[in-house]
Amino acid sequence: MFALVVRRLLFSIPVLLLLTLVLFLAVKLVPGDAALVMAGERATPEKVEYIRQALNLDKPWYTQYGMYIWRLVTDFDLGQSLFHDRPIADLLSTAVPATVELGFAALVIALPVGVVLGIASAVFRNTLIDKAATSTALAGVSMPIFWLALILMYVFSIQLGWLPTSGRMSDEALFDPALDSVTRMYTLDGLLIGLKTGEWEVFQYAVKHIVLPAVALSTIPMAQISRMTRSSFLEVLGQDFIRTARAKGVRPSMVIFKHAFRNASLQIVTVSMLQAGTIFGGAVITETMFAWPGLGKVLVESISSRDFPMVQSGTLFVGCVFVLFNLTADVLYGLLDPRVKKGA
Amino acid sequence: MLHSVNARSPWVRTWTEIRGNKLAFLSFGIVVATALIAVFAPWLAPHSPEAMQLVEGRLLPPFFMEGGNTSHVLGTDATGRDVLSRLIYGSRVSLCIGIVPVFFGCLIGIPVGLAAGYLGGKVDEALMRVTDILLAFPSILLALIIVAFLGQGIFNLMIAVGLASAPAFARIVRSAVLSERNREYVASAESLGSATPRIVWRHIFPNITSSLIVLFTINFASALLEAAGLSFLGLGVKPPTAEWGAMLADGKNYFYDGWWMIVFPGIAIFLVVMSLNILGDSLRDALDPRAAKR
Repeated sequence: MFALVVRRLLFSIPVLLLLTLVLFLAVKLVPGDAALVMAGERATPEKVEYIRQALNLDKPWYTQYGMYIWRLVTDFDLGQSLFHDRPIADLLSTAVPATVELGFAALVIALPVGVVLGIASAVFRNTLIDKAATSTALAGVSMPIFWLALILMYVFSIQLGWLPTSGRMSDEALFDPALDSVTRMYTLDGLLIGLKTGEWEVFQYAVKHIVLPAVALSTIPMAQISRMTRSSFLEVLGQDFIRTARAKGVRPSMVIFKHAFRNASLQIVTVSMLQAGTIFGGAVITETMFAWPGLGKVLVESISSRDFPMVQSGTLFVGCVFVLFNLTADVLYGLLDPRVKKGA
Repeated sequence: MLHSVNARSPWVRTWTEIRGNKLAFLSFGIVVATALIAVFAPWLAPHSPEAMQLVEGRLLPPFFMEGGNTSHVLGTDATGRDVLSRLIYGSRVSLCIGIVPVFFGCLIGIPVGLAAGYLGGKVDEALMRVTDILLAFPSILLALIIVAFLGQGIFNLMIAVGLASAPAFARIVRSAVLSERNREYVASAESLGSATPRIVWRHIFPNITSSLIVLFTINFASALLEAAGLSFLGLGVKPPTAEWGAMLADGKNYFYDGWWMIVFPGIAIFLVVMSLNILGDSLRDALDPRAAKR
């Protein structure tokens, strides 16, 4: 097991290096003078020159690449955002927790709903329940997130006025992110404040803000988890040990939740881990829709503003996270399935 | 005799399956109807999609609401453009940015998959490593990066979505080739001295067509969604071009005054994507039993 982890970790190094190289060379694809493009049409020659110097655009590409990697490895220097004029690491340190918070909230909705829908449609196969559950899943994968988001906003914010349309925190809340935010995830901060002082206002505001984007973001992973749960459950339910359990008179609920669920959980866990990709992809749109200041929104903004260093470092960061997630999914798979562990 | 040969063709089997399944047939009908609407847009649209009415006729509601009229059946948008006409013309761009990338993805993915599967060894190893990396990446992010570096615009958008869909084709073609290449018919073709490209093209490729039809349909759905999403973010078509995702983006600031601006384009995207997904799912069950089990 340990050897497997180490081997996979070592293997990720060339993958990530390749990623940095691709991202790096992508700047070369920019039509025209990259420094000029980044500086914008109305930039002064000084600004263009500054960018050229700062990014070493006047040197050969391998020198640039070498310096980029060197700074990355020795100082963890991700560079400077051109648009925000701040270190990229700074921007990431606020954007990433926001995305993690939102993604986690979406998974908290998607996982139980998806698993229950999936189990229900497998157990009641070919009945109305199955049809309803599979149609829900189908609608979930076919729904454009941005449309769902608009409808949610229209119904719950504008018509009913229950929930806010954007942002992470109300102005009325006595909450200063710079001072009061410990974790940079506001729901968690709110919870901590509530536990410490008994004032739950911050927590309430934070939850109210996260509900709509989290629901919008949860649809696709929910649908995929439910489809996967259904098919792996059907596979397990068809096996001999289930028939044996039923034959010897185990209660039907026991058969489903103990015998079948344990065996199907393997695939459910793996698929849920791999939803990280879907969730992040969805976060790009959801965050932009709900003005949620996370990594997705920052990336879209940096693309529109031609902030290439930000695009490079942001993507590199996402790439690292993905390599890590895939690794974790593999390791979990091994832990849950003794056959895989032995094989390694 | 001729009939039995035809019956085995994946295209015929696809058609038989669509005709036999009510839901699939309905979905197929919706997709075909949308395609026809796109083709005949100039004859079907009551107004020009870009004709504005800034003085009178901004934000007219659909005909069934008070203040609406039958000249603008689905109302007008914030600059007085007819929503129905924009929807009809929008189907052209929307279907295009859904289907062109998938062809593009096939163009790259299929040869890569064929090469990896048939040649095996180091070629396979190298190609699949790259594919794995690309697959692990959220495809919308991949598309975003490509748009970022190539610049915004509809053509770059299609390249971006297409490149992002290529690895899925490479994967599926490779695994199909792997399962076909040790069959006897391949061995016999080899022993008869057929050249490798000929074996791949004449013998293996026809046997994976049904997997490809399924993948193509499902990818068409996801590419359409993704492209609409990118245009919604303002990274695709430029105004005033009518496109469903861009129409939603136009409408999002007119919640209070014009719900029809966001409801109808959304329904259009949802219907087409859902139809393609239903079609893909039922075809997979019928044509590709191995994949259906997964």
